[in-house]
Order: sequence, then C-alpha cells, then structure tokens
Amino acid sequence: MAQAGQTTQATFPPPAPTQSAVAGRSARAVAIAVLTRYPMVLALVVLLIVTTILDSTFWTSANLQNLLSQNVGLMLCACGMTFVIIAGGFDLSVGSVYAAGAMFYISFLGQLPAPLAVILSLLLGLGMGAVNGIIINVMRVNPFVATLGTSSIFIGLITIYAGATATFATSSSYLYLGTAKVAGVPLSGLIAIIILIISGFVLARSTYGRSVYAVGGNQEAARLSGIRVGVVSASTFMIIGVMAALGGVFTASQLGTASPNFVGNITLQAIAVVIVGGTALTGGEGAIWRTVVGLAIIAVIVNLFTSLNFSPDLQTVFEGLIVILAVAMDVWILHQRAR
Amino acid sequence: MVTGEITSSPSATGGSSTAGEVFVRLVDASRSFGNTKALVDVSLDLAVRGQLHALVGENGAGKSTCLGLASGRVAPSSGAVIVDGKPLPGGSPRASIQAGIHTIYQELTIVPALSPEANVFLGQCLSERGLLQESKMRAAYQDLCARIGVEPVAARRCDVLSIADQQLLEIMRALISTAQAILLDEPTASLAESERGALFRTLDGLRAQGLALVLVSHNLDEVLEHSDVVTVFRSGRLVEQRPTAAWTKRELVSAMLGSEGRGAAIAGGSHRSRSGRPAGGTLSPAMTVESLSSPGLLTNINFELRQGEILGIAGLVGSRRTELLRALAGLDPRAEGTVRVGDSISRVPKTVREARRRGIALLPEDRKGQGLVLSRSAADNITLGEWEGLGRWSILSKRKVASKAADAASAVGFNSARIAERASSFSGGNQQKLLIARWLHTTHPVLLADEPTRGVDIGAKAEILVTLDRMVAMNRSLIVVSSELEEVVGLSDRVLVLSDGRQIALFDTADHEITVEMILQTIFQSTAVPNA
Repeated sequence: MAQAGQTTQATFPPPAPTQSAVAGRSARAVAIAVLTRYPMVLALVVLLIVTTILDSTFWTSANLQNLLSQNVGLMLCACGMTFVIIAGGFDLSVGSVYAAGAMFYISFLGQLPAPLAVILSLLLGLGMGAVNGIIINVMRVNPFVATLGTSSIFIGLITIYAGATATFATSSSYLYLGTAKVAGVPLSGLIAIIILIISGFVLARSTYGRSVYAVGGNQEAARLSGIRVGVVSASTFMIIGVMAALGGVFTASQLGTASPNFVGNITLQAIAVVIVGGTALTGGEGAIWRTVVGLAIIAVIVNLFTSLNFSPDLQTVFEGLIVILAVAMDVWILHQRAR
Repeated sequence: MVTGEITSSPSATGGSSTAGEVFVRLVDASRSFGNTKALVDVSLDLAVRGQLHALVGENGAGKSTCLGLASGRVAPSSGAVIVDGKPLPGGSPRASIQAGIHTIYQELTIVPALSPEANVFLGQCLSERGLLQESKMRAAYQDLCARIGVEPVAARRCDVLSIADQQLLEIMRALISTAQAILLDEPTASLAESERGALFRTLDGLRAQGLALVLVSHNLDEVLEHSDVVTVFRSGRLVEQRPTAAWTKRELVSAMLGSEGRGAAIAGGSHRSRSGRPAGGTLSPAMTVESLSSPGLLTNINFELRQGEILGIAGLVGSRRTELLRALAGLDPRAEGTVRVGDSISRVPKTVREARRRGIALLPEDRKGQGLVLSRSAADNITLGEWEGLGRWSILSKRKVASKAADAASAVGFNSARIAERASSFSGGNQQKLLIARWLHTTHPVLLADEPTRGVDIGAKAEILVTLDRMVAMNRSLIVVSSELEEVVGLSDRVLVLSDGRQIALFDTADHEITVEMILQTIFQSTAVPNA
C-alpha cells in the first residue's frame, strides 16, 4: 500500500504547461517541438523541399489544381477510412464502393437528372457501408474477411447491373461536378476539402467522435459506459460508404465515364494515407489532420515520380512498400510505448 | 460541502426519492458460467436510497456477480433485477446506466488513448447539439479533483498513468455522473490512505443526498467503519445480512468461511496424502529465490523451495500469485533478483526456454488459452515441445509418441486408450490431466502449478491432487497457486501468503498446523494496516 501511495504522488505532478504557455515560446521552438513529435510532418516538409528543387513546375497553379482534382477520390476514401480505423475496424471494400458509386452514377446518364443520380449513388454507398457494418457487428465476421468478401460481391453486382463496357458522358450536367471551378479551384476538390474539415471537427469535437475513439480504444470500456458499440462501429462503415461513393461520382464526372477498373489501387492507397499520417492500425487513436498529412505525402511522392518519368509500375511497387514501412513503424512505436 | 457540485444533478434533487426506499432489488437471481454456479437464487435489496450496503465474501463467493447483474455486465440465468419497481433488461450496461445505476469495475475500463477528462466523461460527455463542451468538462473535472482533494492528472493519454491514478479516474466517472445508485467493486484496492479517506468522505456526502451505494470490499475494517448494512456471501449464496452495528470482524470472517467444520474437513481430506511424506524441513533446497521484484507487480520476494515439498501460495485476487509464478517461469522480462536452481546461474530466467533448461516448468492458469493445442491429439499435447527420444533426425515416430504419451497419461489417471482423440473433446478435468501428464513426461525438477484444479469436477480434482503428491514422492518440488484456500492448506507443506505483490507470511506445517482462518486473518490484518 505504501508503494501505491508513492506512485500516486509521483504521477500527480503539477499541471503541465498549458497552451498559453506554449504560445509564449518562440515560433522556432514550437516548430522544432512539432517536427520532433510528429515525424510525418517533418517528412512532408523534407519532401516538399526536395520536390521544389527537382520539379520547377510543382508550385504552379496548374499543377496544384491538377493534383487536387486527381486526388479527390483518394481524399474521400482516406477520410472515411480514418473513421473506420479509429473505431478499430478496417475496410478492404472501399475501392469497390468507389467504383460502384462511379458506375451507378454513369448508368443514369440520359435517364435521370444529374443531381438525382448523385443522390442515388450516395445512397448506394450508404447501403453498401450498412451491409459491411451489419456483417461485422451483427454476424460478427472479422472486418478484414467481411470487407474482402463484400469487395468482390459489390463490384460483381454493379458490373452485372451496369455492364463492363464504358459509356461516355456527353451531357454537360453529368460533367458539372467534376469540371466546374470556383474561383479557379476545382469544385470537387473544394467539396472534398470541406468534408475533410467537417470530419476533423466531428472526430475531435463531437460526442459522436468521442464514441468512435472509445470504441476503437477499448471496446469493453465503451460498452460498459453505455456506448452502443455496434451502432458506432457500423456507422463508420456507412460514413466510408457514402464518402467512397461520392469520390466515385466525382471521378466519373471528371472523366465522363466509369468502369470496374476504377477499383484499381485505391483501397491500398487509402489505407496507406491513413497509416502514413500516423493513425494507429490498432484503433483508438489518430486524427483527420494526420490523414491530410498522409494525403499530402502520397500525392507529392506520386507527383514527383510522374515528373521524373518513373514508370507507373514502379510507382505501384513504391506504394506497396510505403504501406508496409508505415505499418512496421506503427508496430515499432507501439512496442516502444509498451516497454 | 464536499459534494456541493453533485447536488446540482437532477437525480439528487429529484425530491421524490426518500431514504430507505429500495432502488435495486434482486429477485431469485441466479447466474451460471458454464458448469460453475456463480450465484444461486439470491433475493436481496441490493441498493437502498441513503444507505451504503457492503457485500463481503471469499473469492468467487458471488459478490461481483451480484454487481454485474445490476450493472448489466452480465444477464441473470434466471430471476430478475428490479430497478425502481421496473424489471431491468438483462445484460445491457446502457440500460443500467439509463436506469440510473453507475458501476465502478474492479478491472479498469480506461480508454488508453484518451485524456483523463475524456475518460472521466466517457459515455456521459457534456455537449450541446452534439458538440463537446471541452472547457466545461475540464472545469468540472478540475472542480471534482479539488473537491476530493487530488491533483488533476497532467497526462495527455491514460495509458501512461499508474493503476492507482486510473482507478481514481474510474471513481471520478461515477462521482460526476447523475446516477441514483453507485456500485463499487473493490474501489480502494489500489488507492493510498489519503485517497481512501477522500473517497469515503465523498461517498458519505452522496449517501446523505439519498443516493444508494453498494460496496464490494475485501477490507473488513473499511466495511465495518463505513457501511450501514453488511451482507455475507459464500459459494454463490447469500449467507446472512445484518446492520453493520450488529457485526464484529470475527463474526464476519466466520460467516464468510462457513461452519467451523467445513474448512477442517476439506483440509483433512487431502491432508491424508501429505502425511505420507517426510517432513519438509530436513531436505535441501531445490530452488532459492532472493529479493525477487518486478516493477509494479512484485516486491522483494524471498523463499526457498525444498526438495520434495509442495509450497502453496495463498492470497486474494490481485495479490499477484500468478505474476510470481510467471516471473519464475521466465515470462516476466522485467523481473529482477536471484533465482538459483541447484546451478551456478543466479539471475531470474528471462525466457521460458531458459527456465525450462534450468529445470523450471510452468503449468499455466488458463488451460485452453495457454496450456493446450486444442486441435491436436492428447498424445501430441503430452509430448509438446519435448521430443527428445521420440524419433530420429527430427522425424517423430508415431509409435514412440503414442507409447510415451500413454505411459504419462495412465500415471495421472487419464484413460490411455483415448490419447489419439483431440484435446478439445475432453472435459476440463481430463484436459488438466493432460497438462500434468506433460510434466510427467519431462524431467524438470521444479514445477509451478497455477490453479491446477480450477473448474474441474470433484473426482478429477482428487485425482489431480493425488498426482501432484506423486510428483513430490518422485523428489520433484512443486509450487501450487490456488484460490481455494482449503486446497492450499490441505496440499502444502508450507504456505507463502501474498498481498499486493508482497510476501506477508510464510507458514510451515512443521511449526504448527496451518488453517484457512489463519491465512485470512493475516491477509485482512495486512490490508487493514497498509504499511505493516
């Protein structure tokens, strides 16, 4: 008991410096503190410096706009993936939902007004997410297996429905979302940015966000404190479903077409972005701003490779490597903390 | 004044509640876990407004299960929980919380990556239109800290906090809630004296406001000092309830243990086996343990295990019995001190392989999780990891495996005709025999048995105890941990008593007969006087 007393006193030190105290320090000291605590921010800064030196066209408005519209799908998928992973889940079907959203949208071409097609596509994504959520939380199938399975089911079903051959959009209303610009910024990119900001706010500041962290951090504790664990977990899959479908709609609207090939690499990329940003694969920690850092890192690397004329195949190899390295680092950090 | 803030909670000022009114009642409630009956037909006014109701009993007596039913952690197998006149849907923590019952669990339910405030407000965040009111929560948290007299914890995440700090957060979670009943399961086990005082002052304040409080505690002095009513449980049944003033500590202990005869009868039963052995005192040491410590778990453990003796380890839940065995078996890399097993090496084994090479083998607590490969045959399980002499060039001979396994199996009373069957097809008792047969198959001189008879039927238990005795006759030395004190007393030549990772007594049958009561008195004495 004497020992318990000592430990208690030892770990109840006076309050640490608060934010106002931090603000009092010089900007340089703060910058150094941020960079050492968040190595990924440091990595991004280094990457940007390297890119600036090697690629003189990087900071041009055309390139930045291009970068934004190219990555709209990835931004939304990664944003949803952040919710799922923080809640302790995992979604391998995000690429299929993304492609399904795109193909569903294009399938209404010439039959429905574009806004209605968007809404129906989002509902499809929501439904697919709900299916994942139910399989995982009601049937209690491991998220990896569940979403690996639904990934195949979703893309198969949508291909049966819409056909594998691509139709090309000529109606300008169907191209509006993907091509419109607001003050020179692509509208789809702007919407994606707004969604990221709202998501960050919801995760950090809302009761819902707090439940998401609790469910991923300690499921039993969350259950015993009255949080509806199954509902929260399933809701994160519905969020990623809607976001992935919206990403698909944007991409389809940019290209004027959609095909099952959209599945591509986006699942791996979305997971890579979240993990590279520093959100733990084990759940319970992470943040949207980390995902934004991850997005910037991956986007800048890809941009750099393209400008240096690396082959796309080599890029694929690098994307795989980055995911493995990021997870290895995550495990290593956890191990350090456990010691 | 101590609880000024809490009067603002709607429930406390509700007015309709009157002291003495029953808030949570159990009606013929039973709960089984597999074949174990944790609670049998208990009808009890569990939580009464304006009262602190204490539940006491030995390990596994049914106290925590009672709380579990009311908190919704477990559903009753039969019977009902009535809250404020309405039946409570079983097994839903959310329903219990909505009914006004808040529970502080013995095992901590802290979310590691969240801040202390966030953990205190877990599931009960202050919010406006779905948005967290962080500054309001921080203020309420700091206010509560001030009221109960602790410094606010200055950590950004909770996995860096000590167990005591986490326990405090858990308690604060209940204090900040708007609950009408608070159930506390061993809340003071890891608190310092000053924090205990503050906790009970706060509880007194809550009681005065008409909240219903239920306390499960091993600390009888604490119970006698602070509660209004004490109920004693034994083997899943309610034994007796009296107002606290009508109990003495001695009466409580004997009610917890049951009729005088019981312990003696059980002890006498297995005592028979021990009497056949030479007195432990004359034999040379098989293992010497000096100043064995492990940060946060064990503190300065010293003892000698004599050749051919059974050393029993006794202690309550959380006394670190299992941790002691794990440290000796090479499963605690942070353990420091000296362990000698008749060789020149003196360090604590750092890996299981090292421990086994030096002659120490563990029979783990969790049969299915840590002991057996359930999908493999009994024979494979008996010979697991010890394939010496069972084949050539790493190719196992089926015939040799089967014959060696059959030898070991029949020696522990396991039907050797069944050794080709999968381990998963056997009963708990037979599975335990498989693990013991694995020991017979090997030659380790020092054997550590963690709960060797847990969850097995009486017949298998007797056979296991006889087998342990036979090991000793073969001049092996055993350390046995069991939460059944009668078993420890009946089986052991000497008994080491642990409390909170410290060695508080070492009894020797050569000096005087060891009784269950003696052990319990020692334990309760030590918890009553924390620094003794």
